Amino acid sequence: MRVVFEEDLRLLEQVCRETWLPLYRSVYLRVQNREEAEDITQETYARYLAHTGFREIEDPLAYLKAVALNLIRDRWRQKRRRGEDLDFDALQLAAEGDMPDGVHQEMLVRQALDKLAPEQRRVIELRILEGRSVAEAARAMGRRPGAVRVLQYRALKKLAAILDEEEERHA
Amino acid sequence: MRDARILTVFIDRLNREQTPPAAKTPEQARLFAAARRVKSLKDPALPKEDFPERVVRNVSRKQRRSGKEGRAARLTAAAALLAALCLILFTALRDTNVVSAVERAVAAVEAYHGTVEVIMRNEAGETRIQSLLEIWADRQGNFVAEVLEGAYRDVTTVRKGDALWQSPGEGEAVLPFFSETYEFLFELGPEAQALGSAESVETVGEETVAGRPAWVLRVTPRGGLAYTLWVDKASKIPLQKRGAMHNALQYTTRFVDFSVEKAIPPELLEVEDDPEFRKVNLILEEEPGPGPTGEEISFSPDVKVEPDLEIERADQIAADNGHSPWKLDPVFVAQVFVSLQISPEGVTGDYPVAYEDLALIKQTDRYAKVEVRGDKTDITAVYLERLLRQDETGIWTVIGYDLSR
Repeated sequence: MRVVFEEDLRLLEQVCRETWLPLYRSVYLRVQNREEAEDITQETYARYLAHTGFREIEDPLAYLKAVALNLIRDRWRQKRRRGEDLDFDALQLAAEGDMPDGVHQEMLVRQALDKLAPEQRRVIELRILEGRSVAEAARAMGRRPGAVRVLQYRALKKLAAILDEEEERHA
Repeated sequence: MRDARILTVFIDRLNREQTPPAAKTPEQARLFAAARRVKSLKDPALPKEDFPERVVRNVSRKQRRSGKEGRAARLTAAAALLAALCLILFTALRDTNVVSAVERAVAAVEAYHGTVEVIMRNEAGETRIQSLLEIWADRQGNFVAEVLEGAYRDVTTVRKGDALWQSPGEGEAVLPFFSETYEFLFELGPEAQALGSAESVETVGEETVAGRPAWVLRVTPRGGLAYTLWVDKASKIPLQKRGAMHNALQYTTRFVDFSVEKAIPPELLEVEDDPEFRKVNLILEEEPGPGPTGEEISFSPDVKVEPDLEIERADQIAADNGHSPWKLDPVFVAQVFVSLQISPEGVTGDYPVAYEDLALIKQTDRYAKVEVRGDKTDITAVYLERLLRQDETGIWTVIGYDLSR
């Protein structure tokens, strides 16, 4: 561990002030929850400060984003080690890790949603876009909670298949 | 439909802006990725305004501590002293207040919904998530508990009034609430009552649990072992409970998410006419006899295993001294036994049969039967007995097994 001087901390403060928002947004885009995004963003700055040549880094934001992406990959690999030995890193990272273009992504997801059956689309809107609980979604749709869970599962399965097809077509 | 339930937990966690569970199969990974991509259509949830200051403060504190800068060390010591003084004052003033605040907060909860995680830790410090349960419970003592992960995966138990119902409706009744006492884990009403009647409750610190600031309470009940309870500072609801290390095992039970509800959704309690449910009696009060008596039929394995009593006695002494704590867990003993049948030369790396592929389907003080799922072995069930001591401190020994026909 290297010794950190007051001037290092001042530089960290300045870099953090200038970069935290785009960095946090880029992490959040991949993990989609605040708890993990805050953790990873903070750990990214800790790695940045621990890097001996950090004063010479020309584009701190690009460097920080690369560190953050590696941290996300590490987390997923750790989780994989704890779980079964399955090769789905590539699957997750292809889908979430290296998003090429926010606008294109958004269009792709919206088009995929449009291709779902109305009930399937509705359950995804209620559960994910409106953030309702299963019980609330069940009340809104006049269904039992168990039926909503199954509908939501089938809807996302279908959506994943449509997204795969669209990506292959665009590739 | 296990993936459907895990997906529900995943989406609920994302909606609460909390770290979701990790995918354990490619199918789950695809579903989770799709859910994340849909959520990306929404604006990101931003941290509080002071986030950049907090990051700089935390990172610098960490670096200063590691770099052993003299001034920082002195400042840290002064801060620690100040914190200790505050804590002493806080403790002296707070304990009674915290207990009554918890009692009031829990009394005001009509019903709640949450995901409860049970973590088991052995003396070597190794931890394992023993089970993950989705719980709905209300003030009247009714509950719906579904096991999402663990030995009793997919089992749903419903308590409605005095009656207990369980799904799936076939096979033997099981005890999905695996604790030292086989009780419903972490039911808020009884927890608050236990806190109110405890011999002493001491506030020993503050920590963050599931992303929420919490008081840490050291509770000594009237009789029984002391335990630690984490209470959410904002809502005054208990979030986590850690028992004492007992028989070389320690259990931590915690809510990984929690919401206050008006009632358990009535549909979840409609079990009487549901063919997936049957009424069960889970009270474990049967006295262990000198040998298999009325239950002999259930404990008649296809293949009998003759245990070596000398080895078992040595193992019991080792367990009494805190070694080989896994011998106190019938599922773990069964896992090792089945794994060694597959790999008689010994197991390196992961066991060929996962812990999750085994389910404790019957247990008395003396006997246990563990079902083996999956296609990795011809063994379908393992029979175990506490040969030397028939209480919680007795080790389990395999006495036979069933083979697929």
